Amino acid sequence: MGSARGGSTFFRSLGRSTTFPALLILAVLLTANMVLQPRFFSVRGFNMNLMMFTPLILASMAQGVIVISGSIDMSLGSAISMFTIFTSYFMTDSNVGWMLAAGFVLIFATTGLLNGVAIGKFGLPAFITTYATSAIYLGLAKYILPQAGGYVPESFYKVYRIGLRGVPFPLLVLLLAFLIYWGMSRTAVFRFIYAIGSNEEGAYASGIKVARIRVLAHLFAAVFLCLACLCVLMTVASGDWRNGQEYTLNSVATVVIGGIALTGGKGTILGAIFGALILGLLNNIIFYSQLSSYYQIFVKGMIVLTSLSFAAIPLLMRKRHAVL
Amino acid sequence: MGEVTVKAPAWRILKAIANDKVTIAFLMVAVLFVVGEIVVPGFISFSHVMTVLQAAFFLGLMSLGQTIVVISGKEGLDLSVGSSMTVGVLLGAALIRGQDLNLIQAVAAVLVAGFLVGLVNGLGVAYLEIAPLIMTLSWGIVVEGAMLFITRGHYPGKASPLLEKIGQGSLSIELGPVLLQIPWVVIIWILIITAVQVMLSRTSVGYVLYGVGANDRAAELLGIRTRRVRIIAYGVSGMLSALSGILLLGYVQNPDIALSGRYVLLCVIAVIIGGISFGGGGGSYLGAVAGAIFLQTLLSILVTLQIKDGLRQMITGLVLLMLLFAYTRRTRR
Repeated sequence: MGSARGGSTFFRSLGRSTTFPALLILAVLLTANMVLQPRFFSVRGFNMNLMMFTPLILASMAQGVIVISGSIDMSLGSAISMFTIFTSYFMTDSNVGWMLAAGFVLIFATTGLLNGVAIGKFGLPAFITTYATSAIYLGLAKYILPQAGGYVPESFYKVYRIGLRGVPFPLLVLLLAFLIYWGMSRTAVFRFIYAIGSNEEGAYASGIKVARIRVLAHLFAAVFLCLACLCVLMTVASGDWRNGQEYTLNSVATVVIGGIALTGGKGTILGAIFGALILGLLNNIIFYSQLSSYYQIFVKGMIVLTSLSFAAIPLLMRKRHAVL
Repeated sequence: MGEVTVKAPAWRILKAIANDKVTIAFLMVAVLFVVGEIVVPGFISFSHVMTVLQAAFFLGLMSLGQTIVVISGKEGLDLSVGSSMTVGVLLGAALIRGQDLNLIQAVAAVLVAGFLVGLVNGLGVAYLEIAPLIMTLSWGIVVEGAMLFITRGHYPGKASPLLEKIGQGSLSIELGPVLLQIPWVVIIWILIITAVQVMLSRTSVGYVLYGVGANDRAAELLGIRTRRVRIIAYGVSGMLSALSGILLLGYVQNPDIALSGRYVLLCVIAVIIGGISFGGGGGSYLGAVAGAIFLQTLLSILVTLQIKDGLRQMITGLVLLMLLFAYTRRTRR
């Protein structure tokens, strides 16, 4: 099983680590970005990238928790679209806080509770169920606001750009997300999420309430998704059903790049974050190479597809070893 | 199942119906037609039913590809059918350029192109073992993106007279005083359904497909190259969607990249209505046919009621969710 191969234990454990390939690609991409993007390491450049990457990082954390639990959320992007439309449609200068709260409740009720209960409690197949709910969320969004529009007060959304008391706002959100994740990862529920992801029957046999944990996994993920929604809303500052579309597939791709197996139970949220950074840097390269907009969809799709294929290689190699 | 009491035949027949998803699917269609008649008088007249069937054909042909992919197992699903259809529409129009003379070459080229698009899905799913839903979704986006930069928003060419006749025209049958008009595509559909039913239930093609879907390992031990079967299943799905696309071109005359958008979700729902299980290895095309007719009827009713696009999408999503609830639920503690 490949145990007799040479090399120090350090390198062997690196080779086995699920996040190592992601780190390697990340290093290469950072170099490419430094070459292409002027002022990559300046404060301004750092802020720019931070603003661009944060929503995807948060969405990937959400997808990561769900995928680790052995489920998946194909409605994530539509939920983001629904959030931006719902909040911006009802928002006025005076009710920003209330509307955000209402939006968060909506996210918890839909992607958290509805998806979670359907998949966890009733055992519906995750892929296709969230595909169905995705149509419902997107339909609701389009029904409220068929064309792009809505209103987001400038005093609210410009905070994302200028920051709070000199601290970049995305950085604050990310810190909050990491804190929440740190807190979550210390709970028993989080260990159970890994358990039901890697071996559901076994987890059930050892007394874990599988249905409840799966619903909780979706609710945990909804926390990160809410933060992602907030960042997307502040970035685009309007309601549009296209706002979140790319996040569904991108979050799945980042999770896979980051070494989280789609079969569940394997990988870390940290890997998902690396994956998001990789995809963000790749998109940066496209952005700074000033590609015609006609090519963008094609190239972005190719990037997702290629990264999915690359992520499959270690898995296949391991399988070959297992057979031999 | 426990008690062995003698039950009336009527009860037994009812039970048989309740257990057969294809029958349920056709019953659902019948109920929906009755609802349509209540909402809009004249809904179940012969000519209107034919109009609905004509529009349902394009979805039905796509659903055949989807059915084959789902039967082939391993949670098979093809979400790139929309892109394959777009290939059929755009490539078809560009090659036909309004001339009947170019029709045969165009159809051949479209079939090959659709097959190749599907083949990539199959390779990704079978050899790289990427989850079908993700593989086909991202490959579909790539193909759609490629179409966008190749055409740059201009779609040259259009359908030829013969193709339009196939897409829109109908066969007139005089039965005494009544004149029945049956659309050509409905006749084509009936032929396809018959051929597929025979092929899937009577020939080795069907046995291999169902075998691979039901038990991958067992099929492999019997010497069937399961990966190859699966790749071909995806290829055929792409091919049928592309064919559906070029026929759709005959129905709408002028090409557009956005024609196929709404078909993807509907195609998946049609298969589920048809009772074809996502585990693979089961189900028949007849169910998906009922599914396609059901969805087109529903759409027809919603459009007559002037329901907005967003709400329509919500309703289709809800229908899918309810079906999943009815067919795949297994409550856990």
